Order: sequence, then structure tokens, then C-alpha cells
Amino acid sequence: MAGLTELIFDGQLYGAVAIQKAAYRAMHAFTLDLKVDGDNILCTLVGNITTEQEAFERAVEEFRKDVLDYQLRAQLQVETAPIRNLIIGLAFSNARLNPSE
Amino acid sequence: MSKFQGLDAYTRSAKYELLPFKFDRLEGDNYVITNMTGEYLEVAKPELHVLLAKNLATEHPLFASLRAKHFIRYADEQAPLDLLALKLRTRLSRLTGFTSLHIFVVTLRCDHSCPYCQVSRQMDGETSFDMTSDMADKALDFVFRSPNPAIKIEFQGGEPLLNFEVVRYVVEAAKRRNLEEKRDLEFVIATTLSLLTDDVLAFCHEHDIILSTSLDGPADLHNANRPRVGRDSFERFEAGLAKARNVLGVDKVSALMTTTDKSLPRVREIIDEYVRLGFNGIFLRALSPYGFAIKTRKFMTYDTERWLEFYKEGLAYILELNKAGIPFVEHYASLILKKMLTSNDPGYVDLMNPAGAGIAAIVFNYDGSVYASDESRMLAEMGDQTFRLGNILTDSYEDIILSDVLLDALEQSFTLSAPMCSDCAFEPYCGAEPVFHHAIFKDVLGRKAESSFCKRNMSIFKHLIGLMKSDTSTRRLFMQWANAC
Amino acid sequence: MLKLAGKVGRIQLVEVQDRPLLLQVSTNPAIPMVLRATRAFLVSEQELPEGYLHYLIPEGLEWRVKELEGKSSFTLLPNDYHYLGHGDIIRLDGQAIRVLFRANSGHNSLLVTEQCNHYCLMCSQPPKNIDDSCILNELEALIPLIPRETPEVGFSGGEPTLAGARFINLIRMMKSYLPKTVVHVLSNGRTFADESFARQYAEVDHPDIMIGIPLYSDDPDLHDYIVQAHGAFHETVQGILNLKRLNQKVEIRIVLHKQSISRLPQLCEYIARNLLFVDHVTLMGLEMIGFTRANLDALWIDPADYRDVLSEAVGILAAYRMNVSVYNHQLCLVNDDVLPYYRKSISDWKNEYVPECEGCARKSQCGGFFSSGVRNGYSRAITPFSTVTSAQ
Repeated sequence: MAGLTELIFDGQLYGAVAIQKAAYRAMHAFTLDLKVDGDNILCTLVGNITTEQEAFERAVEEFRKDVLDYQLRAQLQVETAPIRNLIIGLAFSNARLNPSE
Repeated sequence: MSKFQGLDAYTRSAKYELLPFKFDRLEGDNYVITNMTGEYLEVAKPELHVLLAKNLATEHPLFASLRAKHFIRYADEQAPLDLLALKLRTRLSRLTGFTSLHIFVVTLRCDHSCPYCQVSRQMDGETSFDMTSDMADKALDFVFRSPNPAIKIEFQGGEPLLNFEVVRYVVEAAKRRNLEEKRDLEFVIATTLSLLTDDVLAFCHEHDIILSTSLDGPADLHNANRPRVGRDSFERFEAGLAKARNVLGVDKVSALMTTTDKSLPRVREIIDEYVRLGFNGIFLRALSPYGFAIKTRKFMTYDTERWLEFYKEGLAYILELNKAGIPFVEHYASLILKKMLTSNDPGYVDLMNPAGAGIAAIVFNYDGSVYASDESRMLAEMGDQTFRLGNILTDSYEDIILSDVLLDALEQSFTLSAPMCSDCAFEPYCGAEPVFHHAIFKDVLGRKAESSFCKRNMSIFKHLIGLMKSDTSTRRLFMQWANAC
Repeated sequence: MLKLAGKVGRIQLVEVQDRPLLLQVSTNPAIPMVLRATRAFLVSEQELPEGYLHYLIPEGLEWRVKELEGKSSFTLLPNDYHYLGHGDIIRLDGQAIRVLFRANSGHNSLLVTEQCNHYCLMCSQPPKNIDDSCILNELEALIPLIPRETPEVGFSGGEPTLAGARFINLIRMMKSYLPKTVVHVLSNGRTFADESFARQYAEVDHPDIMIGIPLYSDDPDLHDYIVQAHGAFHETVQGILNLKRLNQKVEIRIVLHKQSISRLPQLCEYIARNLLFVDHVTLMGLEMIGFTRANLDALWIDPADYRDVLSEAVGILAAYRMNVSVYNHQLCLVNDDVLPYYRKSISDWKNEYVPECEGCARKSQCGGFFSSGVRNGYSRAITPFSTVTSAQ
């Protein structure tokens, strides 16, 4: 009685990585089969044997939100990577003394 | 006549830049964003998208706070970078101290036979489960190889008082060595107090030793958890507590609870017992995953839900106590709040990244085996030696500290490169827990989506954020907890 | 309120003076002649000791003039200066007197310059863009005359650090001549954003000195607006960081008014997260003086209306274990939880009470008002206490 759902994501808007990460997060409820078909990414969500139908559906809804979130996170990560490295560089630099040291 | 310019003359209108941050859903469509140093803000979903698109208006109520908490900046501003770097540095500075907690398991013998305990053996005259003074010497060599200016030596067992000669030996030897080493030395004995004598107390008083004891709740609960010949664990504990406080002082005796199934419906009673006995705080600990509970994961998930109810109810009761004028702290929350509200790190082994195993705490077993943590030792007693780092009688400090066992565990469980953790907004508050995840998943990373460690902590983080949002006096109380020494 | 400067009555000078005279006041008839030669004697009904450089004759004792006529320099003092005492230092310049230093006061503040690079909406000492380096000359002459047992001296302006190396020199002189005197400097901190200036300051290594630096908001735009200077917030923060890197003591000062109250708790959280290492944070009531009156609409808020915000702010700083003090508020306008941090602080030559205070049991614990406040406006909620301590 495992749940089963198919979703299609537009490959122009969503990366496979975002989908995989969202799926990883949902693995307590289902596992994912991923297939690229031209411009689309086809997802088959197979509910875990121990997951009730209602819990499965809730997990699918969370999954859809998570895909968008992970897509945004990827963009944010790329955009802020240089400044993140700058900050870490400053943090580990020996050039200036830390006021609380 | 006005030579004064209005606010608009000073309002910048350039496009802002995003500083590094992460985000996660709180509940519904409300998000929390966190920066590298753990500062956070709650943002609704539409606002988050506008923020990420760099279209948030200067007049927006969140704008000034986003700037002040270093989520955004104008490209020509250097101060936000300097301040973030400073805070990050403060947060990480504990790492340079390296190992501070050294646990000496001086015996496995015990006068109790608690069902959840993996380690102790029946009480008898046998000394084959005792640490010898040779091992103690070698262990002390190891201890003083740590560069940390503050060293804590904690005696555990079984019941350490059953091998008090070695406790005495270690304390005296350590203090002798410390005349030259000049560290800040602290000693703790973890004991049930059932075997406390005047001699032991006199020694503890002389050497400023702290006693860490166990209090599981009201007498019936405590005794059910802790069977003993005579069935008088609680009574002996209470008598020992009074005696110890009298000789050593109230601040020198602390209590920890063990949470079992039986504790879950009775959190208020447990807290009341702590209050009645004059403790000013409690550590609402998680259910121990070791022992039979590991075997069925479903059982674990159910347990996590029930435990979270237990925790939230306990915390709510504690907040009531505080409102009624009784200062009382929940210690697990304090540790987390320290990470959320300050740039300091509490150095709690189970909530550290990189993991606290080995680099914050280390365990010397009675037989000379060295373990990366207390859990590592418990795992070994169940037959899994994965986190045994070596033996102090045969291996050098470098062999042990630089062992692949330890380094691999630290590296592979590192949250900033772990799936799900690396993107998680709550990562600054959390930790890597390689031993726990190995025990459940046979892999130090574990699958966080199925991990009760992850679920438990995420739920608590969200809960604390919610509590602070709803009530400024709670927020202020939490700030006090976060800044307690 | 004490009058510190003004015109004097008749003067007789025995020798020609071509510059202002700096004089230490003495009431001690027994000091040796070598010391009398550089001091002014404050005349009383007792016998007049000989040999003083100058004599000060208070109002009411004019009849003593005949003893000095033609023999010694003297000045007739109006009654405003009845408070003068031993150890005080005055400047006499033609017909003008200014009291530069009062030995009895706990709060001597020395003005370094009236120039400033800010133009704060509530400035109590409006800036003047003139070359007043002669003030520095006078301070350099004054410091060696200050009694060595003086507990504390303050430096203010304008912006004292605009005097650059001469400012640092004043600090050095304080260390040399008054090594046991605590020094408190009021500065916007921006000059310390220049690392070499900060280093020169630190190199003086004064044994007990603190710089009081205002920060009015966690929002840089709001802070810049309040001080009317672009880029002020960021330079001030850099200045604070530089000073703390060099282990110098820093106090953050927050004047409370409608603009700064709007984000006060957020500012306190900002300080607690980013500037936890500062040595002191002070929250101060508004003075109804200088520019404040021109900007009243933007600034005035009845302290009774922000008492809860003040409690929250103090609560945050105290939770983070920072040193906090609340200055320049009336006792009846703060909540009980602020009392541990409340300082009776209005300096003794400025404080007064109003008719609403009549019968208050805690007057002696309260700082009262600035006389400017009495004149120009104060809270509608002044309420006398009927008991000396609160019920709690």
C-alpha cells in the first residue's frame, strides 16, 4: 500500500540537484526515481512501505515546497560564495587582533 | 533657518548586496533566516523571495534589522564584514583549546543495576574491572598533552567511589603535575551518592571536587530506574545530597537525569522534585538510544514524538516557575540559546561541529582503552568497537589523536559538508553526532531525514524561536540563560 | 546653576598684563611665599596675607580694597562666584573671569575645541567652525596647575580628536602631571577609524582613561541622520573596533529621544552581539539646550512614555552582563527594574527640582533636572514619592 505520485518539473527552472536534495529530505516518507526527458525532469515518488497514505501526501506537498527552496538556496549560495570566502578569510587572518583576545 | 537635513537625506537608495545566509521553513509559509554566526530573523515567504531578488524596499519594516543583523549590506560597507569575521572567530576560538574533558572510568563495579546501563557489573570484590595506577599515570600523561589551559577530569564508572583509591591517586598526581603545568584544573566525580562517606567528602572538600549525581525524579520513578539491593537508591541519594551540600557547598553538587519511558508522562513531577531538593536547573535529557531501543527504528520515531511532548511540557512548566519568581533553568535549552543569542560556544560535546568526540572530550576506560566519547564506550560495551581509538598502555598520544578512526569520523560527519545539514538554516545551532548516527545507521553521517537526533533538535530550535517571538519577557529570560557562565 | 563665566567688578593691576592670567585660588594664609607668588588669594574677614600675585575680593567685602589700594593687584568678584574655593583655577582676561577648574566638583570638563564634524540634532554645545587652537594653548597651561589629587577630569567639545596630535598630547600631559586622575573623553570616535591615530593614542598608555562614544541606532541611516553626517555610523564602529583591538576602554553613550527610542532594543541587541567587549553602556536623558530646542518636534518624547522601552533596553544589556548606567532621568520616570542601573548623575552645578517635586521622599536619591529642563520643558508625569524605598 505504498503511495505513488508522478511530478514533472521544468528543467529550465529547476535543477536536478535541487530535486535530489528535496528528495533526500523526504526519504523518511518516500524514495524518488528521477528521469530527464528533454526539457523536463520526471519524478516518480514511491512511498515507503511503512508510510501511511496521509503522511505520504503531506510529504509530497513538503517536497514540492522544498524543491523551490533548494533551487533558491543554490542561487543564493553561488551569489554569496565570494563574500563568504572573504569573511572566512578575515576571520582566520592573523593580521589584526581580536578585541576579546 | 534649518541647517538640518531630514531623514531622507541620509537614507541610502543604492541596491543592496546579499551577505551569506541560509533559510528554512518554520511553520506554514513562515521562514527563518540565519547567518554564519547564528543570528536569525523570521521572514514570511513572499518577503523572502523579494529579499532574495534584491528588491526589498528600504522602508520595509524588516530592512533595518536585515542590515543590522548582517544579512544584507551596501557594497561599499566594510564594517559588516569585519564584524561577521570577528563573531565567527569568537565562535570558533574554542577549537584551539582542543580536548578539555577527560573521563576516567575507574571501575565497572557498581552497587546499582540500572536496566538501561550498558556498562556496570555486579558489585563484588573482583578488581579485574578496576583501573590501575599504572593506567592512571599513562592517562595523565595523555591529559597534559592537551594544549587546553582548562582541563576537566571527570571520574565515572560503574560507581567511582568503589575504586576511590585510584580517584585519590589521580587527583593527587594531577595536582602535583599541575604545579608546573599551571592549568585551570577541575575535578568531577559522577556518583549516585549512595556510598558517600565522611572520608570521601573530606577529600572532595580538600581538593575542591565537584559531585555530579543522578536524580531521575520522584522517589518511585528514581527507584524504578535504579534498582539496588535494599531498594533505597532515592533515600540514600537524598541523604548523601544533604551531607555533600553541607560539607562541600550547594554549588558543588549538580544533578543529571536519565530519561526513560517511565519519565515521559511525568515531567512536571520530575521538575518539582528538582525544585523541592533545591536545584536551580534541570537538564531534560533525550532518551538514550543505546541498548534495546536501537533495534527498532519505528519505535524510535514514536519515542521522539513523545519525548518532544515531554520536553515542551517541561519547558513550559519551567517558564511558569520563572514567571512566578523562581529562577530555574533548563540546561539543554541554555546550551542551544547560547549558540542562538551569543557568539560564544558552550562546548557541549553532543552539539559541536566538528564533532566533540576526541577533540573536546575523551574517555579512558578501566582497561586502558581510549574512546572518542562516552557514547563510544557504551557502543563498545554492546560489542561495537568502532570508536575505540587505542590503548594508553601501548599507543602514543599521536597514535590516538591522529588515528584514522577519529579523523575520519570527524571529517565525514562535518555538518557543513553533510547532505541536508550543509543547507540547513539551523546548522549553526546543531552539531555532528558521528557515534549516535553510526549506532543507528552504521554510518557517521546518518540519514538526517530519518534521524531522531535531527528531528529532535530541529523541533527544539523552532520551538525556542517561537517562544521568544511570542513573549519579550521569555526572550529576555532566554538571554539570561544564554549568558550564564 | 552655578555661573562659571562673566564680567567682574573693579580691577586694579599693579603690573602690565598682555595676555589672560591663569590663577590658582588659595584660601590658605600660611602657604610659603614662593607659592604665593603664583597664586590668587580669596579674601575673607581674616587678616590679609602678603605676597600673593593677585587678590580676589568677594562682594560684601569691598571695604578691604583700601588695604590693597596701590599695593597689589586685585579683582572685585560679583556674588555669582561665592562658590570659589581653595584649589580652583580661574582665568582673568581684562574684565572677564572664567572658572576653568573647580576643586570641589566631581565633574570637571575641559572643552578642547568647538569644532565638530557632526551636527547632532540635540547638540548641547553647538559647533563653531573657527580656529580655536588658543584653547589648546590654555589647556596646556592649565593641566600642570590642576591639583594632583583630583579624582577625575573630562575632555569634551565639539569633537576633541579634531585637535589631532595636540589632543594626544593633552592625554600625555594628563598622564605626566596627573597620573592618578581618571580621564573621560567624549568623542564620536571617527578619528580612531584611522589606525595610526588609534595607535598613537594607545601608545600614550594612560593608566585609567575611557572614551565615551555615542551610537544612536543599529540602523546606520538613522544614526547618520541624528548626527547629521554621512558615513558617521561606519566610521564610528571602525573607531570602536580599533580602540578595542588596542585594549583601550570604550563606553557607548546613547541619548534618548524620539529618534533613538524608535529602535532602542534593537540597538542594544546590536551592541550585545557585535560590541560585547565595550566597557560600559550609558543611556542618557535629553538636555533641553543647544540645538534640541530647534529640533523639538523630531526629538521630544516624554520619558514617561518610553519607560517600558527603557526597561527592555536595560534588560537586554544586563542579560548580556554588560555594564549599564542610566543617567539624567528623574527617579519617578523609570520603572523599578531600572533602579539598579540608575545613577544620580546630573552634575552638581546643573541640577535643580521643579514644583511638582514638592514633598518627594526620594529627592536625595534623584538627580533632579538640568536647569535647562526646568526652563524649557519636562515630563508631565513628575510624581513625588511618598516613601523612601519602593514596596518590592
